[in-house]
Amino acid sequence: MTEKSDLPQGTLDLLILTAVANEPQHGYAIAQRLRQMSREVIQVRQGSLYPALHRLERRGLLAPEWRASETGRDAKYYRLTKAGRAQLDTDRDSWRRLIKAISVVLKSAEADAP
Amino acid sequence: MRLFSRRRSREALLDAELRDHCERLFDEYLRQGCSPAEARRRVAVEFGPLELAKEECRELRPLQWLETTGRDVRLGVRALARERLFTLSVTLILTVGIGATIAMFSVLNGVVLRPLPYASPHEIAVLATHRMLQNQFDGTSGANFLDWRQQSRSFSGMALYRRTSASQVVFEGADGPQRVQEGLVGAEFFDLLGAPALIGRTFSAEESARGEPVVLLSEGLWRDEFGGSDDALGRTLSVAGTPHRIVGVMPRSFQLPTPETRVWRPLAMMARWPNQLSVRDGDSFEVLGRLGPRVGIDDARAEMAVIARRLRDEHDVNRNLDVRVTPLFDHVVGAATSRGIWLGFAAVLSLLAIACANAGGLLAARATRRRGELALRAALGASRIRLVRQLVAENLTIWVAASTAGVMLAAALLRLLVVSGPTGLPRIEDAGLDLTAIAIAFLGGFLVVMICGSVPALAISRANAAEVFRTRDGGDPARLRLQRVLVAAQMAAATTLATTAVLLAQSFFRVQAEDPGYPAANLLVARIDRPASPRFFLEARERLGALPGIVAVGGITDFFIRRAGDQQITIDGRAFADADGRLPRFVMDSVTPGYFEAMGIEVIEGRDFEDHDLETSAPSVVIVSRAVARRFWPGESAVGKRLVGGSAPPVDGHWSTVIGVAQDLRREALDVAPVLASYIPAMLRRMDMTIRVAGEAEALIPAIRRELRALDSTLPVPSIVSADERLSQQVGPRRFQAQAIGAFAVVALAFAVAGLYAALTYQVTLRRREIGIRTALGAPRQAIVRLFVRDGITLTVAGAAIGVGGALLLARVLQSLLYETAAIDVQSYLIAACAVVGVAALAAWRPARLASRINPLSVLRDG
Repeated sequence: MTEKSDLPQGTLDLLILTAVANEPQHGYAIAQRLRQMSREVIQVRQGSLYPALHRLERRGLLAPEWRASETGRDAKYYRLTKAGRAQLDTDRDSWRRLIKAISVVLKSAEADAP
Repeated sequence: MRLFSRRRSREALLDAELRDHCERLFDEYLRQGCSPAEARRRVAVEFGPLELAKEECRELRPLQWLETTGRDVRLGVRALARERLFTLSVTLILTVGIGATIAMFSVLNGVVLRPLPYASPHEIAVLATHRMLQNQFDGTSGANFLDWRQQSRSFSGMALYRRTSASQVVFEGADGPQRVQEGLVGAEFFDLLGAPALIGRTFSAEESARGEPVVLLSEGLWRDEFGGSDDALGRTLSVAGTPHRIVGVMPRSFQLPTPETRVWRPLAMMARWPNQLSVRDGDSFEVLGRLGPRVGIDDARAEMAVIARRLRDEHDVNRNLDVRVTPLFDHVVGAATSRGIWLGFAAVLSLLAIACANAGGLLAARATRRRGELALRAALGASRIRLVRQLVAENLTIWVAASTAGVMLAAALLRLLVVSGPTGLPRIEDAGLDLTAIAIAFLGGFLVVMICGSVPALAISRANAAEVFRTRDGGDPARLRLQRVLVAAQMAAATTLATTAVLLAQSFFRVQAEDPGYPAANLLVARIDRPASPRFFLEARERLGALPGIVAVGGITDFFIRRAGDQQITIDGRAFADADGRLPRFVMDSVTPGYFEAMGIEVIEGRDFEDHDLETSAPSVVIVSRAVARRFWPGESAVGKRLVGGSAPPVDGHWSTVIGVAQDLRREALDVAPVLASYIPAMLRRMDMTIRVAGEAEALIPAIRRELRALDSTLPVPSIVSADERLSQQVGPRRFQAQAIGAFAVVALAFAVAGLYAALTYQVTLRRREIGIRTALGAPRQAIVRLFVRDGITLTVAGAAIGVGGALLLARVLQSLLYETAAIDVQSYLIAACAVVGVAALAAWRPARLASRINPLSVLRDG
């Protein structure tokens, strides 16, 4: 049922939280930011983005805000909540640890190779 | 409502959010220089199925499953509403099947399966004296009962009660004296049955032994006379002219000795007690026994046969007597009744099977028809679980509707049966809607609906859309074959039912057509009990005769008692013993002058009784029935011949002279052939008054009651019934059987024919291309019509042949239920088979016509 994202499991949430860390963003802007920040490597399908946004909203990590946007229409902005920021910090730390651990493993594997 | 509007706004917000995204994307593409059309296309590609994203967002909401389920049910109901004809047919078919089954099972359970309301009822047996030469059951003498009880080891106890046909008693009710059935029961009676009183207690050992004036009331009488109040206990009721103390009330379910019993008194209250116990040549009692532990009914029978033989050898009056041991259940319900009800139940089961086959066929056909729709929705992104959920919701809706309607139908049928009767079925008034039956019917309906409706859906939802579209016009041969087999099976069951129904109906009509021999309409029968004056009947004849609308008044011993000729007759000058040395036996009834006139029977020879024949000094005279005259004096006049009751010529030479010959009649029941009957003039203390009226009989009843009370104020309020009502009541069970099975057969046939119709129509659709080509190649239209009609008839004839076989298998069970109709009655079989095949041919006609109208051009165009 879930549209499989090309990202490793759980990373989409971390990326979304990062994208709204500085200021509230709407869905389109989040998608754009992720693409720019990753230098076009990460393409988030809208089919996965919105369910993820709604999921984070339900978990209380993001708070919705409807306000007028530059297009003149009302748009839904997502703001990082306190819980969201805490989650972002934990996730970022564990992600970094994980990367470090993986690169250690990979390096030692390279060293062992003849 | 709130929830709904909130959902609506949430839905709008979701929509706005996603649209905002799309529009930004669209603007972006425009900026990059795409044409609007190209931009729209790219948005669509990039965004993917919009609905899918929405759906996933919705799934995240709390209580979402409830909401989607609700939506699935609504979708399902809407889909059903679109196909109203389909929905209605399936629901109706299942409703009728389920309803009829529950109703019939409730009857089966209420009458046959439900245990009798006594302790370990299967251990209780009725012991009856059997007169071997006449093959008649009779009461038992006190002395024989004592010997049975003393000599037998099979029974842990035996109880005695007064023979019921002689047990009527008058009690002083609030509205004057009333005559009711009473049970005069021995000390062991209630203990043996193990039935407690509803309130109060049954008789104590002392009350039973000494014959104290105590009485138990039936629940019905207690409610009528005492308003169901506990105060009744300890009060007195005047029974048979003596005040009796009320010690208890028996529940409605307690129906021994008879269902009509209203009061019980200790047996020791009967006249000539306890001398009655030493009488050897008598028939005053009936006997119940309880089998000892681990004793079978056959053991008891074998033992009692030995005892009966011993008693035959020891006592000359017993030389013709044997003992019959019958389980109490057979005594109360009767083997023929059980068989009839089982037959009805078998019939309703076949009806249910037909209904299920039919509804299943329709459901499966619809599921197949919707393969395209489902595959399309799956391709558009509907998840499998949602599709299945919607289909299940549809089927559940049908199931709930059909089951609920079925239960209501069953309740209505049962009510119709109990209230509007008369069915003459024992214990029917307590038969309720049976919970087990309801549960089983619900479960059965569920299985049918789910298996036939959902399994194909499941298979389809798993299938690949492209494949489904390619094999659009499948016509899966296995499914076709199954459909044909189902249709033939339905036809078989319908034929068996139809044959049975025709046989029962014929038998019923034959009984109905029997001429009672007297005009039963406009004849009232009033039970007169011990009037003060010995000349009451003559006085009443005067007085009632003066009432406008009353034509004639007479009296007879007992109008509605079935008799089989119990009086031995000696005829002057002739020995009429048959090869076994048996003398002829007549029914001998005492009647008053005026009886034949009131009955409307002609005295075809000689003269009617006159008042002077009643004088004690008058010579003994007798009127015989035509059957007697033909048998004993063929070719000559019976008038003037002499006979006497008993086995020897009268010692004092007092023969009775035949003064007249009366028409034969079936007085008490239509299915009992006229017996050898004779009449003597007499006025007895208890008689049935026969009143011939002109015009509205019911309206005269109050006036008759009033006149009789005016004549004799001590007279118990007589029960007055009309003779034709009683006669039609007696054919009640036959009518019920014929109507029930007839109705089942008609419905079954309708279902089976609908099944055939659906199957043929389906085939015509499948074979459109073939038919089109045939037509194009010059096949005449009639040939095409013939093709399909022949196909339908072949299926039907095959089914009907099997059905006739089924009916032949049933013949043995059926035979015992039929009156003057052979169970292998060729005419009935032909009628039923022709009806089935005829109706089937009509049903095949329309699809066949449809086929013949297929236009080859349009077939080729459509591919």
